[in-house]
Amino acid sequence: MKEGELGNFESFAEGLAVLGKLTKIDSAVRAAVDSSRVPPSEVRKMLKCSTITEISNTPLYQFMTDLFESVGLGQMEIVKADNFRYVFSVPDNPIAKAYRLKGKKTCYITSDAIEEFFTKDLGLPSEVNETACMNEGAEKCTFTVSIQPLAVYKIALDALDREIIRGLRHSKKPEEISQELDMDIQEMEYRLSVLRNYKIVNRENRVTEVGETYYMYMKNQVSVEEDFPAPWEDMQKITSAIAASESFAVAFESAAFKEPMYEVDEEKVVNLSEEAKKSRSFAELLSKQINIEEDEE
Amino acid sequence: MKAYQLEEVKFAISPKDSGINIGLVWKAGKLYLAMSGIMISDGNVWYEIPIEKIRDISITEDNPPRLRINIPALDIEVSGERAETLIALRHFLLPQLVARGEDEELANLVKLWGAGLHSPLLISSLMKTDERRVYHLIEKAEKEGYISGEEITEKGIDLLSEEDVAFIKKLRGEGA
Repeated sequence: MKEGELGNFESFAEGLAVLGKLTKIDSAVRAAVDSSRVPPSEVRKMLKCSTITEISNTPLYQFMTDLFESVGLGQMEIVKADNFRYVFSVPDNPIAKAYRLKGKKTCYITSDAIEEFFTKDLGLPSEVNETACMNEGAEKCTFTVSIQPLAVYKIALDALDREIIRGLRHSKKPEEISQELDMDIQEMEYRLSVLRNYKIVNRENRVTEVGETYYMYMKNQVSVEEDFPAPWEDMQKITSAIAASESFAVAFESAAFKEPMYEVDEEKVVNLSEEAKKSRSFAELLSKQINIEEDEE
Repeated sequence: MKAYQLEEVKFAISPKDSGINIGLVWKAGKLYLAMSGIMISDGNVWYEIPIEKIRDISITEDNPPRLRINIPALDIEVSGERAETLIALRHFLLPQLVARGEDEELANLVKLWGAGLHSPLLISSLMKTDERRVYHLIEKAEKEGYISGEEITEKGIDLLSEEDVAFIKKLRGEGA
């Protein structure tokens, strides 16, 4: 195919086959996201992990990687994590391999799928970017997830954490607060380490500016945390939803090679880009289109 | 020219940044994929959206899904019942967009170049962009044949509107 035509596919049929594959994956992603809401208690377990190994051992991480593989996005693995950012890579990425484009990032479908999952299913509004792509010469595709910090705080920290912050704001010692909350000192130490990690309190156990902002924001929030079964407890339901969603996409994929192409009468084609350039105003462009239609009649 | 039908749609074409509410002129039609890009037909006219002119393609509404295709000077909005088709079409086309933002910058550079401004510092100030970015654009414009020396080429002129070309000619005393 020539330059300016569909990206470097060997034939139009090959381009349509890739579109069919993407339609199938998009259908599956939509169905998967619709049936995979994760309870905040499980999201919290992952957010509180401080190492990749810990994250890899959470049920949520295992569910997420299985889910992405089952919809056709390849085997995702976490390579880096900090408070508000995760980096995932996909070796041998099937999406990258579907394109013949070189020197460009191609895996927007994966970025969007991760973003949908984090935002809708985990309750963590996020922005996801492909930061390295096999089609740009990288060894594997890499996706960086940037999560809204407030959303992380809202899920990672619970009512007891807020009570600890409240006590610290009133200059109470951790031991005093743990007695008031009937919490053993080890748990208090663990919770303080999490608060330090999130820069809510400093090393001297004083509430930071970030901590003050968080506390004042949450003080006026009335929120009851939802509790419902984790989606991995009923994988059959998700698998069925994905299978059902794919049926129309499969039909598209097979039809793409069977349905006749429309033969376009080139005299009736309006190249919008050219017309917009030639026309001084949109009114002129519209009037041209109306004239074409009137001439037809 | 051959085209493959993807979806029955409603569509609207509106000038970018015009402030005109084009919601008035939604038309019913069909969305097609062709070798050169996207085509939409209302039954009479085939509107061609060349792939190399698409700057961005985004989903603006979920239910029903609405796809916005952005080319220089125009926004084309397409609404269809099957979300997957429009979302997948976006994912399919995104990696292939060559224009994404840079063609408009190049056109602005060529316009200023044609008007006799060649100082990267001055151009960066007029284009409200970084000077290093201007150097990159000049290099690209030379490499891709939009400018040559202190002149703009025929290919460069093709990037501009007739109004811009007339303005440059007037400025250079060549007549409108």
